[in-house]
Amino acid sequence: MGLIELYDISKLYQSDGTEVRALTDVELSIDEGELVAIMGPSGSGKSTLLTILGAMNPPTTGQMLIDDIDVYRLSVEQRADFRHEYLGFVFQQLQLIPYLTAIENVMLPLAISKHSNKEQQLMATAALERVGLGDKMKRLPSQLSGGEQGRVAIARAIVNHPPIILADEPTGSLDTHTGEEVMQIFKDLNEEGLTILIVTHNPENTRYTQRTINIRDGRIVRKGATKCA
Amino acid sequence: MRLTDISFNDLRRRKSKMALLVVGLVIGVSTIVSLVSITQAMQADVREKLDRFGSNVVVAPKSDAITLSYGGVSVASASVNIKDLKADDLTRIEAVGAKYGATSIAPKLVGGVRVGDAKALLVGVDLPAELRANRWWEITGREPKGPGEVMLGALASRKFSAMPGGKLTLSGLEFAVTGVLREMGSQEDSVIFADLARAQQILGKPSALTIVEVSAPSSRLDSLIGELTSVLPDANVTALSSAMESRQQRVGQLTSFALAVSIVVLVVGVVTVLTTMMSAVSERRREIGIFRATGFRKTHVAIIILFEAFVVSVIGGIAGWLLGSLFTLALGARLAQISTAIGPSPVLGATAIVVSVLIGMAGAAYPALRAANLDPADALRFT
Ligand SMILES: Nc1ncnc2c1ncn2[C@@H]1O[C@H](COP(=O)(O)OP(=O)(O)OP(=O)(O)O)[C@@H](O)[C@H]1O
Ligand SMILES: [Mg+2]
Repeated sequence: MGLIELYDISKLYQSDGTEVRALTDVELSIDEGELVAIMGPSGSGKSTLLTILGAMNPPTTGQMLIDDIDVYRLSVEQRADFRHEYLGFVFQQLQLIPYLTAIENVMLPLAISKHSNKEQQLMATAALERVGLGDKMKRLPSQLSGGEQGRVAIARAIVNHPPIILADEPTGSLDTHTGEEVMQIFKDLNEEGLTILIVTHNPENTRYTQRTINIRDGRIVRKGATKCA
Repeated sequence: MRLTDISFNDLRRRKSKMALLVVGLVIGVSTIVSLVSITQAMQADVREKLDRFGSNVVVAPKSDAITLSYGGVSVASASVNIKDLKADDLTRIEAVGAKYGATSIAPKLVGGVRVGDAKALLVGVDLPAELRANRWWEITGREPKGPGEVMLGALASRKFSAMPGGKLTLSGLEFAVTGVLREMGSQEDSVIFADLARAQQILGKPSALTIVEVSAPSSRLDSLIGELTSVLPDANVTALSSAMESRQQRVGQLTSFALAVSIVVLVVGVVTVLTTMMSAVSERRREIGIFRATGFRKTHVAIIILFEAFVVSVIGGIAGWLLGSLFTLALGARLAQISTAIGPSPVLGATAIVVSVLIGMAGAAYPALRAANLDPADALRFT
């Protein structure tokens, strides 16, 4: 029994009266401590899968268990609590809040926690130091390079010590070198025990991951056939 | 970092828009505060004066030809048609008056006299009672104290060039003028007041009375009128609509008007908050998506939005109250036509803040709901 179990997940979107089938019959099991890459062409359903894994996009059919919790049977507010406890997100386009400094961005998920301001500061500082940004905590996102912004986004995802990190194209907007730096951070975090799923376009990134899930037209393509060097 | 810090942060970032919203609320709240303070002061003023002066009831003989109102007696018809009241009528009036707490009973005899070549209206009065019945009278000089002294209305004083300290000859008798009434725009302006007994003598009607004016507390006026009517079947008993009562009516109208304006201002306030917060929420879709994704509950998001509106409306309420109070302090008394300045009221201040917060919450409720219901997956989709 894996940490994350998806059974027969399908997702239909309704847009302008027409149905878009984003995912079809997805079966997936991810063990604790895995570092997984999710790959596939644009529009294949990678982000949809990630938001379903992220407990914020109810599938049309199917069931998802994380840590034996049937996530989509929780109420909307319970699912928010669940995300807070179990999940850290690194979003496509990073999604830092432009008017908050690096440390404030990292503290954001703690605003609803019981931690005192002092503790929040310490936790955020630790997270930023963990990604090697201890010296730029007071900067606004616009005063950081793309790679540094990526690291702030990762710090925000790990600040609350969730067991699972979900990342959508974290290296999408970075050059090769900084992209590799960011992937290295994910690898390090994984070695510390975090379960990490990364959506990526870049086959190079699979060098850092243990497993690759390929998606095409909303279906998981079995390994072996597409596994490349 | 707390939810409230996120709100403050956003307020700082949207300084100019939020400042504009505060200005809107300040204008609205200060308008309401001014209207309420001024109308309240006017109401209190009228109520206080009505209590102090009481209301007056006029007892006059019935007449077929003309309606008698105080002072509105034309000399000719008075002498032809009217049966005067008698001394025992006065005794009965006094008995009823005592029962209803009358503060003064002022008998009068009205009649025409000659002043040189001109005619004038002479009113014989029981002076102490008359002054009690008309406490708002303002006299230049002093009131007459004996049968040889008279007091004039402002117009009469001008017409006969009689000033305090001067002399006036009425039907051949010389009187000392001791006082002149300030012009009131009423019938008193054109009459000459003299001692009752002396007037009865000049007019050749010993112990006759034309009118008796009774002052009594406003609350007991109806029963007083009822009893006087039954005791004096031959007389007309009518409430005198005093200047105060017509003022009370005007204040009442003004209060309704102020209420209507306040309601409009409230609605405009709510709509202003609504549109401002709504546009803020749509600008913040992405950010709210991040909040929700990282585990903020819908209620957390709603709290952030509502708290921003709360802060803005508290500031608007306090500043609006201050501005409204300053305005009323400076101009209120003049606008309300009362003599004392209208000071700030802490109760009104507390109410103003509560009302402002209610405006803020009413306006922010829908935007907060919209924000809370934003789908995080949707908000974070890059399009
Ligand atoms: N909210 C939505 N409403 C309607 N259609 C949607 C919605 N979200 C995704 N889709 C559609 O579902 C399909 C899968 O989209 P998804 O974003 O999961 O793809 P993706 O693999 O992440 O693509 P990319 O690599 O470009 O990010 C696409 O056809 C997309 O247009
Ligand atoms: Mg995507």
